[in-house]
Amino acid sequence: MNHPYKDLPDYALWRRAVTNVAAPDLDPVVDVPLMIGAHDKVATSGSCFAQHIGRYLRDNGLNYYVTETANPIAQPDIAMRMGYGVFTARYGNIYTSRQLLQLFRRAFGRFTPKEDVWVESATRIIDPFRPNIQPDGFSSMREYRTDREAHLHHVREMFENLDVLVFTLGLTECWVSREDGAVFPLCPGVLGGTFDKKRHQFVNLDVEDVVGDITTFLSELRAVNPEARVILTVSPVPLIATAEPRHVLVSTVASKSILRVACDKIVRTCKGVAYFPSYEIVTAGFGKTSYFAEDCRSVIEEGVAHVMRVFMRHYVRNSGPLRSLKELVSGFSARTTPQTSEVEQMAQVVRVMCEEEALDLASLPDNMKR
Amino acid sequence: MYRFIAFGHSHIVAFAKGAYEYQAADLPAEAARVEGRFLYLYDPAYNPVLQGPPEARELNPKLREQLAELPWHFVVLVCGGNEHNVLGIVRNKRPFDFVLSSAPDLPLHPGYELVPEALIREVLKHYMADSLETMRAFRAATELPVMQLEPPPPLPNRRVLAYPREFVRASLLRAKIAPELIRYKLWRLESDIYAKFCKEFDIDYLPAPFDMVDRNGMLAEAGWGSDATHANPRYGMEVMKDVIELYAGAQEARVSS
Repeated sequence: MNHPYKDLPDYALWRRAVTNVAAPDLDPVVDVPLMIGAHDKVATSGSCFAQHIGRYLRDNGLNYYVTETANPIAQPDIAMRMGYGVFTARYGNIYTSRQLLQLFRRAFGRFTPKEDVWVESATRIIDPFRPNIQPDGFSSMREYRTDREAHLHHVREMFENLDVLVFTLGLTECWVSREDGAVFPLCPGVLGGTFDKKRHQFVNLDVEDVVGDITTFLSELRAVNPEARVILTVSPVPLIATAEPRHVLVSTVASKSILRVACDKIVRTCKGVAYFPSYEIVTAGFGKTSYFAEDCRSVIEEGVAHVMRVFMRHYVRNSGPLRSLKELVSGFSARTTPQTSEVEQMAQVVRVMCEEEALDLASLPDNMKR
Repeated sequence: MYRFIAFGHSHIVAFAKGAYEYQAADLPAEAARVEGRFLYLYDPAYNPVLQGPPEARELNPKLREQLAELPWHFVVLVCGGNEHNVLGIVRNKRPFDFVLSSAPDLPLHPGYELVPEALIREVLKHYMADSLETMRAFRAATELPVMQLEPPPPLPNRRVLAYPREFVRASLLRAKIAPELIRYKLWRLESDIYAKFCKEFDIDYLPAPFDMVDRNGMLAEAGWGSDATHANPRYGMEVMKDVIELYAGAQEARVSS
């Protein structure tokens, strides 16, 4: 008897592709619509998890494209703390599709948010669209405005010249200005500004919203950079908090599902766009292993290494012999913190700058913050 | 008679010489007399200055002995102070400027890269780390009043270029020295870091003598030392007078309260 399931390849059969595969060998990538060459300029943006991608690209000798670099007077660790090199430009985490589209439009002068600065004091100026980009914000209004102008110039440079953009979608929940729809990476009042329900509105993007944002972004990107290719991923990092009146786990699954479905729709209809299953690799433990830390949220280095190993294998042209998972993790740890304990090494290498963490702090009673 | 002990790096030299000149001067009857001991922290006899594990470093016992040897009235620290010159004099691949938050309207150099003040603050702190740690250790080692001297202002560019020794050596190229205004800003920022640190650790912070700062914010010619970054004994003597004033004022305040 013949039927469509007869003679399916191993990857299509759960028992062969998952059950009988050792956890570190799980590789769900089958079809690769685009490749990255050694000289391709690869830009990164997205949520916390996306920060790992840039450092792995750099460590593996790829052309990790950084347009907004720190002045060489800064030591690498200081530059990193100030948000340089974490992504291609110093925009911090971009959690939502709407934020990405907005960043593009701001960079090209197509949108100027009305609520564009949060003045905490004369020497503490917060950029509402990258509230955690440097400790204590900008030290004067003049510095803020000048830096922002230079930053948006570097963002333009990125979009105009990148060959590949790796964008990691993180959230669907966001806060926007009622006045002009400007979307904030974090709710006003958490890391700066003042929350005002008359001015700020909660929005939870649905599949159509995400698809609309990304397809519009692709269209506008291709208008300035016709050859640009895009790899979409979904962050496996759960929501740290939800503004929906429901359990945070339920919101997490809803958000990630929306993002995952949106990616599926986009790659089916848009050319030059690929989906890379980092979400699946990290979350598909199925009792074999867990790539989450004790907080059930942070992704441990083994998980990141697994994701990036699969990424390098499939998306990087002539990537050469791939290092083992153990080599990737131990090699990176050793380079990062040669004098600290293994536990501390691990803690450090997986540390990423997530302003979402501020939501955790903000939810504590006042007497616990001190 | 005020009896004090001073510890410091290179800037202690001008202070020590100035203090000796003050001691030897024909002072009016009402002027305070001083007796000081000056210890150079680069002296091998006191190195390493800090000992013990990184998380709990303590002052070298020989320095603690010095602190306890005589009934000093106070301690003067002249720790670090040339970190701003590291950024302002050495060749930079990408010339930079920044907005000094305490004087945000100062001009920016056309064509220079604007770097966030916070980044420069972190870089300065990186170079100042040992000095700050030393100050903290001295503070922890004594109950006496402790004061830290503000570093002297940067010397004008023409003076730096005339004496390309020490920091700058022969590699200094005229085109690579930062403009004076940027060097001034770096000095102010470094001073702000010291001041904030002192406030946090109960150390008095003594500003550079007002008359020794010229209208461009550089070290006045009367205070120029014999190289590109240091002050001279005359500057040190003015500092000595200010040290006395600061200590005496603090004593008066203590008595009246």
